[in-house]
Amino acid sequence: MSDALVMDRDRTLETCERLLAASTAEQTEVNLLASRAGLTRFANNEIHQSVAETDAEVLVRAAIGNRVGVAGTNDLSPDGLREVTERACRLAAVATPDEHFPGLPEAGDEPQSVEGCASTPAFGPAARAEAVRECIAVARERGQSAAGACSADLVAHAVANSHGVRAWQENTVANLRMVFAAEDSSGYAEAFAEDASTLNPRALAESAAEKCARSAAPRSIEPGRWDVILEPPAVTDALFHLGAIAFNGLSCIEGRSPICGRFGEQICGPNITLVDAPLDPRTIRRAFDFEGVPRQRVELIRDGIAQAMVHDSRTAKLSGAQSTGHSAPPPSSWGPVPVNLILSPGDAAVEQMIAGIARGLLVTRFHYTNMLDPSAAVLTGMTRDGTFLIEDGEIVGGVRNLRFTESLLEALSRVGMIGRDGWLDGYAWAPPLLIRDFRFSGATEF
Amino acid sequence: MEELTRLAVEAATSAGASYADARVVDRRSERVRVKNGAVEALTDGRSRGLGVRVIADGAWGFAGTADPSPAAIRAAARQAVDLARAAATTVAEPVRLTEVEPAVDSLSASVQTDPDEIPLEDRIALLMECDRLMRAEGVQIAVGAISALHQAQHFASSEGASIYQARVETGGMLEATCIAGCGACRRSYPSSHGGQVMSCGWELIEEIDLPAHAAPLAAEARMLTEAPECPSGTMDLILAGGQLALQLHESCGHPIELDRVLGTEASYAGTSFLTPEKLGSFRYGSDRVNITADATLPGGLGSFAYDDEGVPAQRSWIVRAGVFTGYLTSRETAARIGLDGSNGSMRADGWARLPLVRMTNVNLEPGEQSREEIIASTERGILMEDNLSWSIDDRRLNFQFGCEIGWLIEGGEISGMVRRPSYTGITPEFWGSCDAVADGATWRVWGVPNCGKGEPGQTARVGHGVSAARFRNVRVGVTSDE
Repeated sequence: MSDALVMDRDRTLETCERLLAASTAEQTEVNLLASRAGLTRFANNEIHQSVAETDAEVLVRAAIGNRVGVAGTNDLSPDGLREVTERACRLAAVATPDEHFPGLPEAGDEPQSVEGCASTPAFGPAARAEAVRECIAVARERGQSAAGACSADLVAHAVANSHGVRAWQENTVANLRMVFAAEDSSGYAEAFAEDASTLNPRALAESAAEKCARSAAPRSIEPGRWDVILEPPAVTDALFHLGAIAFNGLSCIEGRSPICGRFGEQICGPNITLVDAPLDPRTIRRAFDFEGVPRQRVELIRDGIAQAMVHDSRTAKLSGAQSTGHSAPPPSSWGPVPVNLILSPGDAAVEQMIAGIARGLLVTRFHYTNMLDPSAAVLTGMTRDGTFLIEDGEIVGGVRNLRFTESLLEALSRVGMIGRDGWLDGYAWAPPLLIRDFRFSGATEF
Repeated sequence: MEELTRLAVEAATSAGASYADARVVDRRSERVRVKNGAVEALTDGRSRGLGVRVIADGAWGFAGTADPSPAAIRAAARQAVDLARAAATTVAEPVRLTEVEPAVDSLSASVQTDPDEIPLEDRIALLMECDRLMRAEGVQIAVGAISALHQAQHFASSEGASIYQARVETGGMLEATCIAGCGACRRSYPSSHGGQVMSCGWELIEEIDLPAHAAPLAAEARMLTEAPECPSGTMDLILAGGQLALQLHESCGHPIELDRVLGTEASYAGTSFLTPEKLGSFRYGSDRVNITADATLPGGLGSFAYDDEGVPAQRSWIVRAGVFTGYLTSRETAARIGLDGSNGSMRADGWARLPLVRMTNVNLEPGEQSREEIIASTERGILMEDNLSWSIDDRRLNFQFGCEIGWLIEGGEISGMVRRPSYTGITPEFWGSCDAVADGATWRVWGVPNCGKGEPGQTARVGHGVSAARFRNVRVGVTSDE
């Protein structure tokens, strides 16, 4: 497997064509994902992990009538490709009929082209180590200990099917995350970008160090309802869960979504507008899904009113709609999920938001969030790496971390202010939010 | 396989590595998933490649490649050395490893019936029968799945180790979901999040007898929609089966990973409250709490003969009579805290990932009372089973779990079912409140096939032997509107 085969558009699609030609099934689809990934991890002010990986994987979905099988391999030799196609066809032959199989998508408009940034795959081990050294230098200057990771990934993705769908894109993602720790506090900063050269290690490190210093000597506070400012990493974490369960076409059809039967109704505050915008440059752009269908911009919530769910071909057929291009890799048991979420910003600076709170909290990020009750969108999780007490419009110090247990839809009905400056996570862009009476259900010891 | 690993190790040492090891891994995984009368997923995935890990200039480097050509293997080895040298620019103390006798060994998988011997048509038919039985009970979503994994691996090191290991894993599960005005109520068998998975063959599927449990499971899901909500307050809690396994996993298994304790997961999964000065003296739980890490348990999903550093599988004490006595270690982390050797807990997810300190089978050793005696001696409490949601802080202290089903206990008897039970606590307080652990009659090893850790992300397949245990005065019924 040469590197050219991994990354080159024409050769990647040629490989897909060979697989399609070898198939004996009535319908065949090929996903080819090739990646070159590098990562440098650090902790205790030194690098402890420096890794690289090159791989390419083929997934073949074969259908005979409405019987479907999926086979995968990372053996891209002629024998490996022939064998994976045969396996997919064999699986389809023994599967039982699936009356809801929608058939593979027909060729339509070619997806808009997305290509990555050359600077990102060039961000090799030496460059990553240099970025990490900058972070460590800041930590040492402050008497703190830095931990984190710096990665640069290139992923080429091709989809082809026997109905003429042909799609190819190349994504690059660079990420620099850090947590600085001192005796009794910690501070977090992170950036995602398609272009590794836009990462600013020193600025991020200064931000993490500042949070760590300001949260020193944390005081214990009582859980309960608090006015809270959720900084963007906390907001994107919550939005991902909301998108995955509430606007997933499959969970809506099956009655598991908290907004089943509520499309067209007010589900949260009128100041909330949420879209999934796959080609918006504020996100990691994705042109098409794992069925080769162009990803569409979908308005999920407008002015607090539920608008639409996202679909793959299967959920689209079940609900009499069109796919919005949100299919997961086959066989996609979880259903379609929005992964380019954008929460519309407001016009407030964070300082204004802090000034608007008489007694409350500022939360930098959440940790280990999970849906406690999906049917009511109740999420639980912990705060970490910079949780602050606000009194009379000013941050007065750090507090020990808290557990929240809160309905996301109810929380989004109590948003008092929305920040103007957003931040990108791997799957969402969001501004900070000021939420009234956010419920903290417990506390921890640090 | 052996030839490729030797080539990688030689290329790495020629490029300047002071230590090198390499693993060739060939993995094949099959899954059949039936949902509501149709085969929803019938998949067969294969992945093969080589990962080479080196120490050069005192630092670690790792590279993985799927290309088996000699040129690609040599390039990966050189790349790993370059990666190590880039890392070495920040390293204060060179990596040191504890000693291990280099093993030369070859071990085949131990199964009674290889799942390959069971035709796909038969696996589908079995699940279709379960599906029919569940839907006959009126549930809206019926899911059944059977999985099989075959893996062959060869490990070689510059110290002279050369180890071939093969393993077969088999898993099975059922899920029944009933949807009503109160939301979705789900029941799983034998446990949630993928069911039961073990290092064995088709004999597991025969043992768990999915068809016999399909209808009762679906009936429970239906009854849950009419059951009262879990009460809120403080009461005694009995955990059993998969939920006790997950409690052990999150609040003991992760905090005893020594790499995490030493800070190398700090920015991602977090650190641990079980810091080294607590070793040997910290009261983790009551004197009823005895916890082991045992990679030698027959059939355990965390069992093996050698870990991914070539260290032999071991059984070691983690908590003895409530006192914290041991970590899960690697050769490097063991050396860092002055231990003589590693207890063999380094595991990698396939060929493309660096080994990390991972759980093997972390077990709550059986107590003396029967499960029935524990229930009978509980005046007021709740028995909770099968996990729905989990969350714990980044030092593994404050946790909160939601379960599929709860059973109210009043006057020593089960008095009724409650819906969507949950509980929360602080790890050492919680285990300190444990006043009874059930005996060996209900003790079994549960497989957890989806333990996430590390960057790039890795999924480990680990095990937990548990029976049932009672915890006094636990906060239960946590809601968003309390």
